[in-house]
Amino acid sequence: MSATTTIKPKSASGTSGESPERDAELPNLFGPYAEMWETGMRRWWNLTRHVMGIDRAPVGQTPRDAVWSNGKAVLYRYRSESPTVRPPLLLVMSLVSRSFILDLQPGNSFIERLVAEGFDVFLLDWGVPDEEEANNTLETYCDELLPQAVAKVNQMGGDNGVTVFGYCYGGLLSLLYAAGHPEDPIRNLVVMATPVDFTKMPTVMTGVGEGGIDPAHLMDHTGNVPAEAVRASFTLLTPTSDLSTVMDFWEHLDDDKFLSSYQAMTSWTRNHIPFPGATMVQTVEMFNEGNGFVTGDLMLGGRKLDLADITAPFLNVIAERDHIVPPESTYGLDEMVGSDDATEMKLPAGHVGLIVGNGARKRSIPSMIGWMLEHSDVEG
Amino acid sequence: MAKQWREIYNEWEKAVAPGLQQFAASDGFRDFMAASAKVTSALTAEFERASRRWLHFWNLPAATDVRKLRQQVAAVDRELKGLKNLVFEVAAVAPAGDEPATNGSAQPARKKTTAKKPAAKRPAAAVEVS
Repeated sequence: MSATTTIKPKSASGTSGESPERDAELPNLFGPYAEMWETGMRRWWNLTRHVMGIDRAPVGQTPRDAVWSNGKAVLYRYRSESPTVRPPLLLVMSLVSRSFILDLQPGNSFIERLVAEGFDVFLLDWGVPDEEEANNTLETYCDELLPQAVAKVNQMGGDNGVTVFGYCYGGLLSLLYAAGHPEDPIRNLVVMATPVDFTKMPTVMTGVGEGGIDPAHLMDHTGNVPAEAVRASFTLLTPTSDLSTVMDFWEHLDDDKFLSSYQAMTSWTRNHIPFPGATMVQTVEMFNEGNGFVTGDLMLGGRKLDLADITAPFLNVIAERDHIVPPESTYGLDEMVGSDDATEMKLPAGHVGLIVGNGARKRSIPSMIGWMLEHSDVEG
Repeated sequence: MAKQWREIYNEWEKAVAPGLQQFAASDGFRDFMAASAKVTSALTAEFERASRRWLHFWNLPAATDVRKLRQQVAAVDRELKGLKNLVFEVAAVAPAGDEPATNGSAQPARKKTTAKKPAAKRPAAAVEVS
């Protein structure tokens, strides 16, 4: 900017340029260049700090405490001065993606919003599996870890029951758990973007199993499906998305706010976690090949499960523009469960757009919170 | 100007993306992926076998040996976790001070201590994460 100031007198046809009015007019002559210079410098600086990893956008900033753990599974409780909504809310994350998507950035965080609304929020994070978790089965999650976590949340929430909220594969786990443990204190059950009819899932997601890829060929030396393979399967759903993301990045490189959101989102989309091998094999058998939810052929720990045993108030959140779990693969859950109060909520969003971004802030999150508040006790 | 290249890309993407998506979702692509996963897996196994033989010849440990050890440690960990869960289940079911004494001595008090011991191992105290 100082360069512009020194040129000013010259640009004013040789006059001294001491008058403030004249000074105010002069920069306009070089305005476009100054702007170009500034934009260029900002782009250069943003590119440098992005490549060098300087000042990266922080994620998962809502204050929380670890209150329970078993193996790599950790239960977090988000700090809240005075939760006014009962029962407490337990968020159950998917097995293949990082849980910070639920608490992406301040001002763009599902969890931050829930806490602000007065919910007592807990998050069950499964951690990153290695050899130790390779033998984890659906029973490990639905018969051991989830019941333990629910018991802990119930105890910490004053024995008021628990609202269980499962996202994506976490919703599938929540359904199996709720069906297998009807005696547990589940006050409400919410599943969001949860696959039900696997015949309507994208081929890329269901191409593992009979007649397709042998699950054993996907596993690495730890006995798990590596994170890169998980990521590749998501990338194949929209093969040009990575390139489009780079184009977006280049186009808006001078926008600090965009860069911050870009870094936060890409740190999630490019950082999947391995899928425990035994769970993968079981999922392929029970869902890819058996389409268990639709056929009713669900087995857990040697016993047959029936979704009709889920009697708690139930909400199935469907994303209309979901390319990972298409809406047609999620319909009908409200009729499969045994609850008298079962709702299907269709929202104009994508798989992640349900909880992240402007659409989430204005529509999806308020709709879901509205349903949960209706089915909870609100103090004051 | 800045927008022009973007418009060109958008046009290109609009033309190409549906075809690519269709190809990625086709049976042919799935078969190709299945075959390539099989070949990769077989080649990796063969390479590991060969390198292991060579390293063992020089009395050096191979990656597969380390892996085996890690798997064994993981198995022990799993077993320990199972036992820990069992202890918790027993502790949760058994009413305090009402345990049947198996060896004739006054056991209830001791039993109570055993049941509480693993609880101390859990991070019951709040750990600040953020």
